[in-house]
Amino acid sequence: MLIISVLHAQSDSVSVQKEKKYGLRIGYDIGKKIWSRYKGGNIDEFNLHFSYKNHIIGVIAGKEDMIYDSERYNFSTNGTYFKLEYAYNFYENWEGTENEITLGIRYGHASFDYVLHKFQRIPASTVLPAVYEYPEKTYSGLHAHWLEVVSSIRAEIFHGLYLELHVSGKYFIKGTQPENFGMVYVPGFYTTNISHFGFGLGYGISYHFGF
Amino acid sequence: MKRLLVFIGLFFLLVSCERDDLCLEKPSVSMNTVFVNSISGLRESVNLTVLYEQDTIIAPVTTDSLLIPLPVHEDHFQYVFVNQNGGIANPDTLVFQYRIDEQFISKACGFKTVFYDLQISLIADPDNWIKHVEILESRLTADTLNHVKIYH
Repeated sequence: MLIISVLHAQSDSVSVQKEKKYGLRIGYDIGKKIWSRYKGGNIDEFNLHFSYKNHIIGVIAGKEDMIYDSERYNFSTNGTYFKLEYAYNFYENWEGTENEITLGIRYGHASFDYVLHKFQRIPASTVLPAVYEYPEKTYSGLHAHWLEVVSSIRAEIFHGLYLELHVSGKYFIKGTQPENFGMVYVPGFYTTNISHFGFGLGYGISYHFGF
Repeated sequence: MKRLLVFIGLFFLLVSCERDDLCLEKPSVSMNTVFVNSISGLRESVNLTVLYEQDTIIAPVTTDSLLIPLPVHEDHFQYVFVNQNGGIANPDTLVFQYRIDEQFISKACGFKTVFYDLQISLIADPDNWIKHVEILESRLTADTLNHVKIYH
């Protein structure tokens, strides 16, 4: 009995020390898909990550079709984006689990077009009528790039399948200014504030391949 | 570690709280008009109302300079300038013509309407109080410049 329990204890300590070195993960952003469909557009974002010990590098790619509709103007955006990411996993996993709490940085780049469908002309007096113009004007070949700092949590829900929640702070670097229009929407970045900072919140699902 | 992540999250939340959805700009340029005594050449106030079809564009005011709103739905029209100096209403009609264009302002504001190739003519009547109209700027892109001088 004693021998058996000693042997058992020894093999336990050996298995705890054996770390999972490599990992491969493929994921899809559900939050963006749902939000974009709700807004009348469509976003498909996939990601692929490779991990070595606690270091993770990844690539994210997305395709977007979004419509912006306000009283003052209405336009649609069509384009693609990619992001390159390095992250570090702070969570100490037991054997057999690959949960993650990560902090990472990303570089993002988008290529896209706008089509301006409608805008309003408003006079300086409420007595005079406002009118709509329908230019159907295309602004093509636009680019933008930015940096992000991302914090995520990834936890296993079924065997190999993980749910991810993330929060990110974004810094907009530069984008091409369309003529007589603005960089009003950037696929992958989503808001262009005056201050160049943005904030993102999201969730997704990923599958971790066993190695 | 968890506390650090929460802190980072809150930090980004605060940093991104800059609303860009308020528009503080006027949606179209007004015609900056000054009133000048045709004899002395100096600015002189008039007691004035401006009418467009059945509506009042400018309510009765005594002034020597005025920002007059312009229509954006048509590019030629008439305004009636009613002078009420001395208690008698004297209407003069000015005919306006221009081209309408737009300038993008911001995400919140959209487009501002601007006007160019402005032309004004006075309809002659037995007792015009307006003697002459001079266009200083035929391109109306900002309210701050004087665009038109009306001599009376």
